[in-house]
Amino acid sequence: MAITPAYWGDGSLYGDGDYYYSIEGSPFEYSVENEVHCHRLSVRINYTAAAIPGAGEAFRIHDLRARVAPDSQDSFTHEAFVDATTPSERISAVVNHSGSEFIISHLQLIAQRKKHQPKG
Amino acid sequence: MALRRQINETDAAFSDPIYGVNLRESEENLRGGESRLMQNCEYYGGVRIRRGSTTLNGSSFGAYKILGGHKYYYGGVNPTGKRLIAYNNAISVVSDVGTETVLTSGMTAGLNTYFTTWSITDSCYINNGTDTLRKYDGTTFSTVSGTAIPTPRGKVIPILDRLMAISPYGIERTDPRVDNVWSTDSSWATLRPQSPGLFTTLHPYTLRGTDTLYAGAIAFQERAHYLITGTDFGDNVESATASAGENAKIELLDSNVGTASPDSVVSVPGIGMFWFTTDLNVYWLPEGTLTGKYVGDKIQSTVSTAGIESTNAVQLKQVWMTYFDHMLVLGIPTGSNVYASTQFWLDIRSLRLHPEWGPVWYGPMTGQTIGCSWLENQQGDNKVMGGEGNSAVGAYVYQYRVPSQFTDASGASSTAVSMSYQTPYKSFGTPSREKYVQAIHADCNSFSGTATVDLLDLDGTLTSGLTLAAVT
Repeated sequence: MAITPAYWGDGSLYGDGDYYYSIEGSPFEYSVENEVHCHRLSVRINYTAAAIPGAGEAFRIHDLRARVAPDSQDSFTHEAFVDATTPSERISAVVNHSGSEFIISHLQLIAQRKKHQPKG
Repeated sequence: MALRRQINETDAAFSDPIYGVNLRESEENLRGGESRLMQNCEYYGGVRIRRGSTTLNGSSFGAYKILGGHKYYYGGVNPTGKRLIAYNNAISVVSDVGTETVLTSGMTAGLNTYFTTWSITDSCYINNGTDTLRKYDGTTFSTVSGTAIPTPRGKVIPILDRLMAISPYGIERTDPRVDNVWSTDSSWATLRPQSPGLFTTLHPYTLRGTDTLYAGAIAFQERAHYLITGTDFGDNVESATASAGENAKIELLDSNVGTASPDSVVSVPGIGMFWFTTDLNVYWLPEGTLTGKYVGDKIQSTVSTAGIESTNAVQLKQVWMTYFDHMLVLGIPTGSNVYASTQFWLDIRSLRLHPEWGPVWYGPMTGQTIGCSWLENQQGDNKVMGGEGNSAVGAYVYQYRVPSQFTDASGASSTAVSMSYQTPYKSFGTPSREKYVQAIHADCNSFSGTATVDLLDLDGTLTSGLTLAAVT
């Protein structure tokens, strides 16, 4: 969004001003608010150059961060529930599939430590 | 508005894409500092929209693609230069204001054309693989005449005091310091390949040994490359036997990696040679070594964005690479395109300063259909030029990567450069747990127009088209 540049400190008090802005090229802060839930968040920023003859500066992103908090629920895109309660020391998983393209990018175990460990 | 249990800002920040784009890795395994997409942007003092292009000639030279271009610098103590281009059946001079002077309309039409300036004769040599070698001395355009004048494939190259060219028999050479006496199918002067098939192109190369420079060339077949070296290339190349002291030799460097893309072979100062391989990757022969490595894996795509794996394999001659301003630009014809329609940029500054980071690529760069590219970097010039590859647009010459230019010329019209930068998929430390996202913050420069934000999760787009608004 275009904004009118106003220099830092142009207000009535020292340091007061409409925007934090020093010289051309210094970063402005931009934001977008949107409430959504996700597992892994990827942000895509799209920008088409404003065709202003003589516009001297490229669009630049210096820093990008999310305002985000963890939810309380576990969930995945794909899950296999196991009700077994047999304690295991080391666990290996075998994933079987046939007949179509199948890609595993991430495999994760949800487990709980057994309270009383066996004595060897 | 404050968020309960908000993840702190350090952990919530997306790393700058110092490792560039990675189209190969899975969403889950992209690491911080990589990017899923850097379409029409680069990392250079922030993620930055790439520069655009301008047209040199206001009106088309015809409904043809540009087949080759070159800035011919010559003149000895009175240095001057002329921009040469090839299109259809013509070789022309095009001035800085786009005025054309046709040198010939007698070339076989539609063939990729290669230009080489040879300082010894102060002339430019022109070939297209079908017509006999041509020559331009700044005044007169002619067909080279003499003994066994070749019809070279790929570029003619200078090596020490002579020219070399590819013939059906192998690699031919001239007598010292002349262009009109060539070897042909000679038992000693014609260098032959070890693997079957014709050579595809030659590229000058100097191997650095201990206290010694070995002048030579790299010769390519589609699936092999060779080193040509020597200090004495013989006196009389027509002779049945080599002159005393002749010591030229050709040695196989690799019997698997070659190129079918003559315009892709490029030298990068202090870094080495690069070329586009027949198996659709980019190969790097580091400076001073004869052992190369692939560097294009990250732009071999496993996602919906087309990478170099989508290169039209029957149009590999249309692939080109150019080094300019610390960026190695790769142009490829994707899908069924018959001209380079997509570019990827390799950040040479990063490779030089941080070799441990590996190759850092940006792209895909879309919106330009530059089919061939050449540098103009002497006598006060410092620019990179391109020729339109799409004959439907017409024969236009462009300057690209123009400072402060954010539109792309396409013939006589232009289109705003449109960038799209996508971060990795960040789990914020808890991949199994859903996160509640409230906002995205970005520090940007002051910009005109509107930037929009899309939010994505592993299973698709969550929200798209959100306006990135200034925080006041």
